[in-house]
Amino acid sequence: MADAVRAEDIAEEDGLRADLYDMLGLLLARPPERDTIDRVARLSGDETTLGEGIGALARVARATTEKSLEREFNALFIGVGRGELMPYGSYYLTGFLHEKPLAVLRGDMGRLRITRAENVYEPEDNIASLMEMMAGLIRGRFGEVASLGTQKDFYFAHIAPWAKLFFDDLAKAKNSVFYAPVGVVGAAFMEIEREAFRMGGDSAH
Amino acid sequence: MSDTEKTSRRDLLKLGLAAAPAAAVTVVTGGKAEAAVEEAGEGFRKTAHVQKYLETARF
Repeated sequence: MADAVRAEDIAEEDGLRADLYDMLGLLLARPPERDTIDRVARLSGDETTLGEGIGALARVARATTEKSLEREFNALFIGVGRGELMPYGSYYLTGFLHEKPLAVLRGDMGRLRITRAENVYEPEDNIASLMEMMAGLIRGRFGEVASLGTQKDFYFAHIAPWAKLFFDDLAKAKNSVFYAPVGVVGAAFMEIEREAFRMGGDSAH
Repeated sequence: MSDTEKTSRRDLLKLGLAAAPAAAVTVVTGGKAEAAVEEAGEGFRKTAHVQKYLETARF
C-alpha cells in the first residue's frame, strides 16, 4: 500500500496514546516487578484528572513492595475461586465468560492479523490484552499502522462498551490500593479516547 | 477526515494527554526516558502523608 503510514512516522499524540495503552496493559497483565514499580514511582502528573491519577500512582508505588502488589493483584483478579473483579469484556457485557463478545473479538483479531501469544490461555477479551492490541494497532505491530477508522471501529466494538466501567470499578474496588489510581488513569484515558474518536476518524467500513 | 477535524482531534488529544508523555514511555521502555528523570530517592518510606493516602485510597 503506497500510502501506508510507517510506524516511526505516527503523530506525536498517537505515540502518547500508544504508550499509555502499553502502560495500562503492562500494569494489568501481571503484578509489576520491582523494576517497573521503581519506574512508576518516578512519574509525576499535572492537575488534570489523568495527571492526578498518575501522581497518585507514583506516590503509592513509592510506598509499596513487590510482595504486596502481588497480593493485591491476586485479590483483585485471581482470588480463591475468583477475584474481586472479572476483567473480561464478555463478562462485563453478558455476565458470563466466553460469550459472543469474545467470539466477535476473535473474528476481528483474525481480520487484523492479531494472534495471541503461545502459552497464554486467558480469554483474549481481558483488559490487558485489549490495551496491548490498541497500542499495537496504533504502532503498527501487526503489520501496517492501523488507520484511525480501524482503530475507532476496534475501540467502539471491544473497549468502549465496558472499559470505562471496569476502570471505575477498579478505582473503587475494596482490594485496590496501587490499582485504585490505575483505575483513575484508565477511566480518564478512556474518556479522552471516546471524545477524540468522536471528533474524527471515518469508520473503516 | 477533513483538516479541521484532524486539527481539533489532535488538539484535544494533546491537551488531554499532556500529563501522560513522560509517564507512559518511562514505564514501558525504562531506558531512554529514565536518564531525564530525577531520582526521587524516597525509597520505601511510609511517611504520614503516604499512610494517609493509602488509607483514603481504600475508599
